[in-house]
Amino acid sequence: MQKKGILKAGKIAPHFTLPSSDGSRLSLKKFFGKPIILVFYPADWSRVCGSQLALYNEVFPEFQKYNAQLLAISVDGPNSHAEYAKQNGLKFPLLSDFEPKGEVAKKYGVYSSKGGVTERALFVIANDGRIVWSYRSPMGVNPGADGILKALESIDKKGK
Amino acid sequence: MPKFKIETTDHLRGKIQAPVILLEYGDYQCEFCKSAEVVIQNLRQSFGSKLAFVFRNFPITSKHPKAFGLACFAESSKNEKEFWKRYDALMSSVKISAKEINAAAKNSKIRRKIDIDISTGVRSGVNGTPCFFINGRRYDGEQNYTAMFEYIQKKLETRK
Repeated sequence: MQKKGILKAGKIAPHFTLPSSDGSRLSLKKFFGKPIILVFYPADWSRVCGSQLALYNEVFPEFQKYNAQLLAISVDGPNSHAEYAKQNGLKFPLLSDFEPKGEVAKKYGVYSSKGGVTERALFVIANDGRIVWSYRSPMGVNPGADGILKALESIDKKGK
Repeated sequence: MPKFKIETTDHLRGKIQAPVILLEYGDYQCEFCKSAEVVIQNLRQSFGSKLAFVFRNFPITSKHPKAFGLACFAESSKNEKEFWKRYDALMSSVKISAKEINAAAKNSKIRRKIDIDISTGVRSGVNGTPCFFINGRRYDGEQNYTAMFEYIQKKLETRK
């Protein structure tokens, strides 16, 4: 069977509900009506992931200018997420794609069955639930925030 | 907007006409930035006038609470000579008094300069610190002397 590729711009973002680092269960649909940034990352507590999430935490005010909601997703369990979010003072929720493992990542075409983790990938979803931009980064490379900001700017311009 | 062009307001070591410009976005509390400083010094020694070094601020205050204040201290220098003296001191972990840091951090013009560095950095693709751009392209290789020397050497060879 051919591996499903990363979902591209134009597709409707698949719905999901996942446990969150704050103890709740969060549904993607809850955030429809505003831009959504989905950050799939391999694991809590790893160096590249740490610096990637720290970067997004630092530039969070830039995302807020677009009224965007950031949701970060890995296959780590809720307890790991809760501790990691607390230790790093994260301003956005971490969601557990834990059970069934990687189910949401598979829907988005970003699950690495070889490593048993989500790949490092970004999606920006417009107010209507449609993906406007997606990007898969090499596992060892922090993709930064410039692609996210360009996508948010394009949503903002279309809305004006 | 991304900002790869080197301007007169940038902190430059070497000549702006150098064939290779090594631009760093850094954080004075970041241990990786301090380690990279040795690499940068060795690269500058190896390449001489063929390499220019530019530093811009990217304090990640969510991980390094004092970083923004230290950046303000460096930026409050009277001239470039003083800036680089302060830069070297900060990269060597010389302690600066809270009084000096707080005085510098009150200056809105200085704060604005650092905010602009952060904003242009994010949009240029800064993905953590230290983040290097070599002739306008983000360098994602190993941040050791050998790897960076080889990369810069190839840049010089392709210009011939």
